[in-house]
Amino acid sequence: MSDVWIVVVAVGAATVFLKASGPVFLGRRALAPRIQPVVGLLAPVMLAALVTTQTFGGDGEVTVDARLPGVAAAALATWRGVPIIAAMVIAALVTGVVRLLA
Amino acid sequence: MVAPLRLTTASAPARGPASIEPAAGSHETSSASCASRRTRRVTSWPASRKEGTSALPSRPDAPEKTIFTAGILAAARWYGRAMNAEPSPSPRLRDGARVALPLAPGPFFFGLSFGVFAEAAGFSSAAAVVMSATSFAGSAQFAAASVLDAGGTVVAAIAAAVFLNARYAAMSVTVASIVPGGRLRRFLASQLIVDEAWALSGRSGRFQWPILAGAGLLLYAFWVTSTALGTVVGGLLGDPNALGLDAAFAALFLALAFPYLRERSALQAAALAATITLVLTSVSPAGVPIVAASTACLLGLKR
Repeated sequence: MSDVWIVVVAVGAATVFLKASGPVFLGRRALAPRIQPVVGLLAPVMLAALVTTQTFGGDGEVTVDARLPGVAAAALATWRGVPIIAAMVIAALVTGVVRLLA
Repeated sequence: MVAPLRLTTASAPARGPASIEPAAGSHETSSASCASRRTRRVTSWPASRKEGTSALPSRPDAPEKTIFTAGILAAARWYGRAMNAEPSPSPRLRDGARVALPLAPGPFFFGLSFGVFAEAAGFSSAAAVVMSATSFAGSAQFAAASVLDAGGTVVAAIAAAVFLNARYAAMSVTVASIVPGGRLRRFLASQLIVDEAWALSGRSGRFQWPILAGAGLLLYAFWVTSTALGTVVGGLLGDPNALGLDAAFAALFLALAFPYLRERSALQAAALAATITLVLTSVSPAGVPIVAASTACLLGLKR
């Protein structure tokens, strides 16, 4: 088996396992009352981490580039009650224009 | 024989007998007794008698043009509703597909560029498509392919991708209680968990399985087909990020996080998570910052 296929199979198997871990191993058992607020915070925490890597992530270092003004404009728009799709378009437009000018 | 195109709609009565043709002849003809002189000024046509005379058209021509127009209009209405859709208390699969449809161009171009990139990194078309079908996680696939492309070892490529996908363990825990079915079905269904579908399914304040599944199925279809397409069309495509697609997805996650942040504890935890991610980004391999940031949810233990 070539290196490429070893990577494809290993990463695929690991991903399948990771995605199934909650629903299969945890099941529908109710969480302990003490754990519930922890799991409740997982969503905003993961989203915040995704926003951060998507905005500042680069080749192993914090990168400040055209994404930042785009995301900032979208944040302002979202705060003013603009729909999600419109906020995404604003982010893409601002970032695209800044990249074009830079 | 081909019927000429007619801009008509075949009519169909709500109900009625299959045929009212008399036993003989093709027309309903008045019998002798009915053909007498008309003696009343008022005629009546009671519903009971009317019912007996309505019939299905015997050989209608299919309205070729109107169906097409109706299809376009229906699609436009469907898409229009998707843009303004409010979270429904009891959504269905197609509601999930609908909320994800406006996002589909992102995964489509991302998948296309993965196909192109994988081909350049020495993947066969089959390997690229199998990876998209089994991993269904863009960033991890790019990470693995780029490590191999840069001459990295197999172990390094696998580790990079697994770190990036470790967040799915956390996401799957948040939706564990809403995945339906027996163990096997839950196993298969959980494979639809992907960032965008997961995030969209929680936008009403609690996670809704039909939204996650509908959105996941749609994005999966786009992801796999566009990967296949990408390996074929090769380098015809530029960098999709030049259009600002990367910032658009940051904006998506941000907008989805907003409703949570009204709560003080969630705001604190999110700020801590963002800080951890930022600090670790420059000192740890890709993927580790997100996983480490998920520990910020332990703030939920205090109170």
